[in-house]
Amino acid sequence: MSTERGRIRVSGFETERIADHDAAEPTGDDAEEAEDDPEVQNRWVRVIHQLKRDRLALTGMAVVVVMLFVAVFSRPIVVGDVTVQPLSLTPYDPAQTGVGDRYDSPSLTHPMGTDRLGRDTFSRVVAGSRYSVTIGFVVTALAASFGVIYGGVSGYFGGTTDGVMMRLVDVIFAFPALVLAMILVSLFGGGFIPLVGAFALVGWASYARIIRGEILKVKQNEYVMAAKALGARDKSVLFRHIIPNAIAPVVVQATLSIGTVVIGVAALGFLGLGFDPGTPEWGTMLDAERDTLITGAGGTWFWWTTVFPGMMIFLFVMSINMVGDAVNDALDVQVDDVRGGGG
Amino acid sequence: MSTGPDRSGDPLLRTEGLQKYYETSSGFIESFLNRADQVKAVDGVDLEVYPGETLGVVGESGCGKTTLGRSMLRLIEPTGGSVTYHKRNEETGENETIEITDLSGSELRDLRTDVQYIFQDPFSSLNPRLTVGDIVGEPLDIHGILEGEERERRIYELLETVGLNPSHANRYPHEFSGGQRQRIGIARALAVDPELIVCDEPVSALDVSVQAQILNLLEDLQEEFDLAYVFIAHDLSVVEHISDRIAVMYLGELAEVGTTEEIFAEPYHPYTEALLSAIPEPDPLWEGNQIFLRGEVPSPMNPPSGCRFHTRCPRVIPPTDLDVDQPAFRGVMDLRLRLSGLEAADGLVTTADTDTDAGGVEDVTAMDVESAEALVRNTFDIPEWIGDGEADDAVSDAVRLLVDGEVDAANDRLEAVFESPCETRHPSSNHIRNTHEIACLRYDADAPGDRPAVGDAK
Ligand code: SF4
Repeated sequence: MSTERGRIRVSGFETERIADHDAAEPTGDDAEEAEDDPEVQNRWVRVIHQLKRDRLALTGMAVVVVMLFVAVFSRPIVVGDVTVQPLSLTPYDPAQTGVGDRYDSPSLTHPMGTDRLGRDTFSRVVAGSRYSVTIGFVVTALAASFGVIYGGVSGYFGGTTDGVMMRLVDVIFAFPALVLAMILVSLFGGGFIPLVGAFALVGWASYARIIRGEILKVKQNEYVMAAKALGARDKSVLFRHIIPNAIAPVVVQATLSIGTVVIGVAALGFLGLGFDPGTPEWGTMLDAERDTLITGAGGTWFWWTTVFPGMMIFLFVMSINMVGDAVNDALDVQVDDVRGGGG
Repeated sequence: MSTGPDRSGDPLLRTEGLQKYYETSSGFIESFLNRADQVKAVDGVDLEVYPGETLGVVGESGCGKTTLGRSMLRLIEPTGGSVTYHKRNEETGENETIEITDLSGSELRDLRTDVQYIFQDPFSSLNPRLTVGDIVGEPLDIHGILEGEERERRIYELLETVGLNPSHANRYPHEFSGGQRQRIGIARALAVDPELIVCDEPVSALDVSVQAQILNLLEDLQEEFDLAYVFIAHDLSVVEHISDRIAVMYLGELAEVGTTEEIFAEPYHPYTEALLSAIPEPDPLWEGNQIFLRGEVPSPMNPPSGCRFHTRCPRVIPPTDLDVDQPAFRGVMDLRLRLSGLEAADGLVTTADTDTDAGGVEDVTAMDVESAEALVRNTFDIPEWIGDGEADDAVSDAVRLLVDGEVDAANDRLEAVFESPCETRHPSSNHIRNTHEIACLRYDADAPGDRPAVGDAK
């Protein structure tokens, strides 16, 4: 009969017999041992795993951690009238003049010598980490968070919203970053907060652009449509489903740009913008001693006043970039095998 | 299949004239100049889904079936038409009619507890960063259905229902096979206890053996939870097994709707007939007289006039005053189609059309009229004697014009004689019997031309 044509009876299959095909399913017994299986670990655990095997990155990480430690413990921290951190690693008060002679060369009492006002360079360099390093981290955290939200909203909603929001980003990109930061700092004056503000205002745009591009790709995934089909709100679709899958390049960019911010702050310091001249910020120190870069009268060259702060900038930026590169590699590998388990 | 669900009451979901057009270009200049083309992905679809039944939606890829499924639930915004949902009120037992296209954002979110969607691709439809437990639990969180321990218990229960090991709730999707992932997707859809699930080719990405398991699972779930399905597929053999009724789609429109028996029995829509002939029968003596559809599915951007299937229909209707065979007429239609897309006459016949092995393009303008005519008739399966003097004259004239390089004139000459009513008339849905509707002029009493006896063909 014509009604019978072409029938493939699927219902009669012995599903038990072919269940093997679908049985990549581990049974309850091996569930525990699967915990050690690298595939089962979540991605940040894996990234850390990867970093641990990378000597260079480990060294960089160690340097960064030491510097962060130093930044916290270099001088006591007083909030209001309460001392929350009483330790002081610096042998002398970095702002105290005349703790040694003018331009003492490095010695046991002053491992990095003294500067033109007889201040202890070692104490100043140690205390300086507090300015440069913190600004690097704070600025990056602020700029990245704002940039991710901004670019996320823009990419997710698309259309006119996207058009308008991205034009603002273009405007920011139309200025050289450092020049824009300089203008902002000279408008609002120097100091910690204005510097953080200026660099964050300049820096967020690149995060916005990166995450937006990534979101345009991620939002094509059916799990985004699936979340909407479940009735999820835009906010949760964006923050739960899209951004976590688009964040990897932002993390890489953020790690790499901490160094850039530190250099930028030092550059402004060297140009005499940013902190007050006496502040032991590395760039500002370089600025204060810049005449010693040229050999002084009578062939004396007080190299220690500039070389040590300069070295610190170099050391920190170098280390953080090594970490950044390693994070980049680790995340790349990871992104590729997200789909690996299927069959 | 024969008992089927009750279709006497209100349908659960009804679409009327549902329409989804895409603008092909969102560029500012184009939209300013109003030059953007429209892709008519879904164009005026009327469908009903009754409680507890499975409606299969079948069509080739690109026919708009996925767009239909998604705009039905407003996962993408339809550009026209209406979708009504009849909500069963538990207390009063009465039906409440909801116009889905008018719902606000939050009302639409509430509707998601009644209608759900299962995606085709089990890989991209699960968020790789969430554990299976969180994926299945997400609808519970969104709608605040359950919390804490009850939520956990419900997740385990759902995983068990779809045949997964509940102890795997803490794993990530990439640790599962395609079939298991599809089960996770099903569990997620079941979490809200829906009335209707749109299944968008849920098995086409899976191994054949796994397909059967998933289909069986879906059937079991339907029985257990009294679900209605809209089951989208590109293959009649898959939906036949699971559907109570089938809708056949072609280029954004419905070609035929009916119960599974009606679709698989005469009278056929010519398109359905071709699809049916492509299903192999398990009978070893099956000769496989498959109807091959010529050409590709036309672009929905500029769908063919009249009946959208007329560019490929093997039964395209000849003009009433013309006495020609069906295959010959199809051949002339193909020739006309080729001519209308042609810039110059020398591109008319390529070796891909003929059996000859010689490579390249045969240039009719370089031939004498007689051999050109033989070649053209041969290529397009037009017999030497069509059976109608006027028709044969027209073909000969057209070839002569072609040899002179006058493509448009040749096309006009053919069109004057061979214009099919299918090109000019848009077929409306014709009730054949009970629930059976066919959108084809052959079944339209008002249309010109011969038509097959409909009566009680069985
Ligand atoms: S209307 Fe004409 S072209 Fe369309 S399916 Fe029917 S016979 Fe074929």
